[in-house]
Amino acid sequence: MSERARAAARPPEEEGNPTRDNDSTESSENQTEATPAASAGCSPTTGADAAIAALDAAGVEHVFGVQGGAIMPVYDALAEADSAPTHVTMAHEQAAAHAADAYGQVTGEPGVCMATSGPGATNLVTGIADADMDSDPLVALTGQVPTEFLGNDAFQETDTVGVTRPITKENYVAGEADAVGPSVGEAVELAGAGRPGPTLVDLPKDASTAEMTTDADPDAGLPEYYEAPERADGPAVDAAADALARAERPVVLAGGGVVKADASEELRAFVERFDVPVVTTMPGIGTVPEDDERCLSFAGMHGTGAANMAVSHTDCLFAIGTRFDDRLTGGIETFAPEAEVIHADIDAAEISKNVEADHPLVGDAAAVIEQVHDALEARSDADGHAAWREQCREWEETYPMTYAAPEEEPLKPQFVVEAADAATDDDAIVTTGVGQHQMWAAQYWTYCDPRAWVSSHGLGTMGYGLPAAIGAKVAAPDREVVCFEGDGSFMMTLQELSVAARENLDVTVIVLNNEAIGMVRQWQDAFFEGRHTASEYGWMPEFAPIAEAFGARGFTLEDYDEVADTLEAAFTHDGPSVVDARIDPAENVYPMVKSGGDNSGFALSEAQL
Amino acid sequence: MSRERAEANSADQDAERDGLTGPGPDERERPSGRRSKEGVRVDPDAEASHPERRTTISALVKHEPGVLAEVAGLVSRRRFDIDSLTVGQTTNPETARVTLTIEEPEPGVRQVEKQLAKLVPVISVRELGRDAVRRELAVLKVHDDRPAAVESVAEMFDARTLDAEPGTVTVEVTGSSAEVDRAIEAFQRFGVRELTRTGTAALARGTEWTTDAEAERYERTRLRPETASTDRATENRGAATAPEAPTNDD
Repeated sequence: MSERARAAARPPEEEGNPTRDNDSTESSENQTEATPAASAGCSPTTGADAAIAALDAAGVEHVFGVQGGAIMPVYDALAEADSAPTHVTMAHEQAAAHAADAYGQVTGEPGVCMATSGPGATNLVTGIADADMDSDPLVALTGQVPTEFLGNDAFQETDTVGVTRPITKENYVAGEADAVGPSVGEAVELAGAGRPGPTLVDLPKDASTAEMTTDADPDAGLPEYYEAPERADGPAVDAAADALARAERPVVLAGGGVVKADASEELRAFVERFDVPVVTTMPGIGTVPEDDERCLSFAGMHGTGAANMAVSHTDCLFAIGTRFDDRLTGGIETFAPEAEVIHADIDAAEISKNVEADHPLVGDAAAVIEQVHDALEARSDADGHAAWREQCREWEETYPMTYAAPEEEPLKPQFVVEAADAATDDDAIVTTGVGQHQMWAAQYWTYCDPRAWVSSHGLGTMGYGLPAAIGAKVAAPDREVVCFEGDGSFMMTLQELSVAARENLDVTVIVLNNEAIGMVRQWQDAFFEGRHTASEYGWMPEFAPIAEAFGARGFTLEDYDEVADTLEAAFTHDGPSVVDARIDPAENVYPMVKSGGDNSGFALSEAQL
Repeated sequence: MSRERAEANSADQDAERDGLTGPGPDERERPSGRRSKEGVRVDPDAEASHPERRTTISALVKHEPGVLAEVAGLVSRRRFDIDSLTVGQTTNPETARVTLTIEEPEPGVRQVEKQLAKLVPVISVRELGRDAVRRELAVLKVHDDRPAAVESVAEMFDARTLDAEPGTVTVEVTGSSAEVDRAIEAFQRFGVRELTRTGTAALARGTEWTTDAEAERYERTRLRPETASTDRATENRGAATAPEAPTNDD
């Protein structure tokens, strides 16, 4: 039994730690009506019951998972409980983690995935790492061999907490039945608290099957000593407002933290009131409507020319909820080199990690934006950036995201993305895999809402798109879900079509098929003298019949004049469908900033790299 | 951008079939400022530099399995440059103290503090001042060919003799890192057969608290004697769970 589990099971009067409020812990112990047993309608008797009761008490409605030996008791409890989350059986554990991750991105509540020990747990690892990099709220429950076998290399034993320690906010071993409920409850709370991220609870089989010795105590609070900052320091806010007030070329850089904090409204009000150009990061897409005249779309490696020019020339960068990833900054030496940097983030460790913050604002994005808004309102010279706004507008005109689409040439991916955007509702959700198709989906779809762009950013996980579409559809059954995939990326998780078909999830997968790992090939052309090693498949299976065999609808798209009708047919089909769009294999993604390069030196074609 | 508009522009696209329109990198106005590798905006005339400095970071952590692995994993993953890492008990059986000696430029020191603070089982973290009390311990086994000389060197460094047998003398040296270095250096002349050395154990000097959390706990137990007695009860239990001995883990 772990110390943590022991601590969780220990009555509070034994506590001797400094910050815990004894009164509140004692009273919570007496609140038996708030236990998961009460809300689940029957008393949990085993550790597995307690796990399900804790999920239920935390308001978890869906779980994505795959069965297996060590997790069987938990699945059994799921079936037996009066009130329990709905389970979606996935084909592969990696997909369970991605589906839960996307569910978390769309709802803002932790997505939950479940797998057995050993390979089940290791298959979750990619999805957990993905959630960790993108700060997505995710909870993983893993089965484990019985405690008596732990450390003996038993069948399907892996040191799951050891493997996942560097990629979780925190992980737990619930070493006995009484520890299961509190650990699961805490894991769910922690995943969504402060800067969201993944947590994991490892459940040895004997802890799941054993009878509990105490009445269930949900204790679903955050860990002791855990604190998430809310409002930024007043003096720092004033200094930031001063910097913004004296700036001649201010830019707001909106990152994924704005999405996580549900701070879009505050951001939009700020941008509008002070007439500041706004650039997003890729995870920040949709925080301000991309059709707003102040929005220059996203910056970074494949960002728009205007966004990269604005970030390069600004004298005051108000960055909110971004970790200054290298795909955004390019070479740090040339990133916003003339800017006083105001950095708002809920995680103090992000401040001055990559880019030094002149004005660190540690707090929740919504609260901090309001604080800066109010402080700037009190300053008389806060607005009037007409010349700078005009400059940014000129850059948008100078560097348009155009593309040629002559009838006689193969289908352009950009055209397919724009056509799909035009054919879907405004609140449609887009998920993607990773590669060229992901960049085209980011560049050519016009995003107007947060939580509509669901992608794998930091980890760059090929194959994320389809499981993410499943998670997104379960999270938002009334919204259209469109998944862009590349042929290489789709091949990594396409078995999940079986899940979409079985659950009759109305998702549309559009495969931008160039029979290559296109992004790698693009880099080989630019940096490896055109040697296409292991990047061109030369042969790909037919995706339309594959889709049909899985029980989905399959379409093949080759000509411009078929685009509208085929997409229409796929979107109107009530159930999953796959559109295999045979795109021009010669098409590459631009603009492009070389890895480690200068954002203002973005290339518009290969010759400029 | 609609396809129609795109086609209208297709004439100027022909030159650059594989790309977008607009002035190339050399034709653009480029910013002249720079940042350092650490992301600090630099005045081109006076380039800022951050020399590495050696300092001690003390963290109070929850005494539970996995904490040491978590701290060690963080240090290795983020490639912090550490000289030593020790873990040991505190006055409270539920907490342990992790002491790291690091060599990092200023931004790196701040990162070590903040990344440590982010770990869930870490209660509080701070960089100790230059005046902090820091000790290390080394145990050396030297040849006893010249016992009198060994003894006089031992005396010079306040070393204790732990064991003397035909062939070897084992001595213990404690002191600051530099003092232990000097003592080892001095014993080299006898031929050091074996050597083991701990990392740094450190406390803030005088009435200053090493971590804020301990100050708060001390105040609370002092003001509320009944809590203190609970602590004693817990301490007995703590003894049974065998606190981790100080280790040098790097």
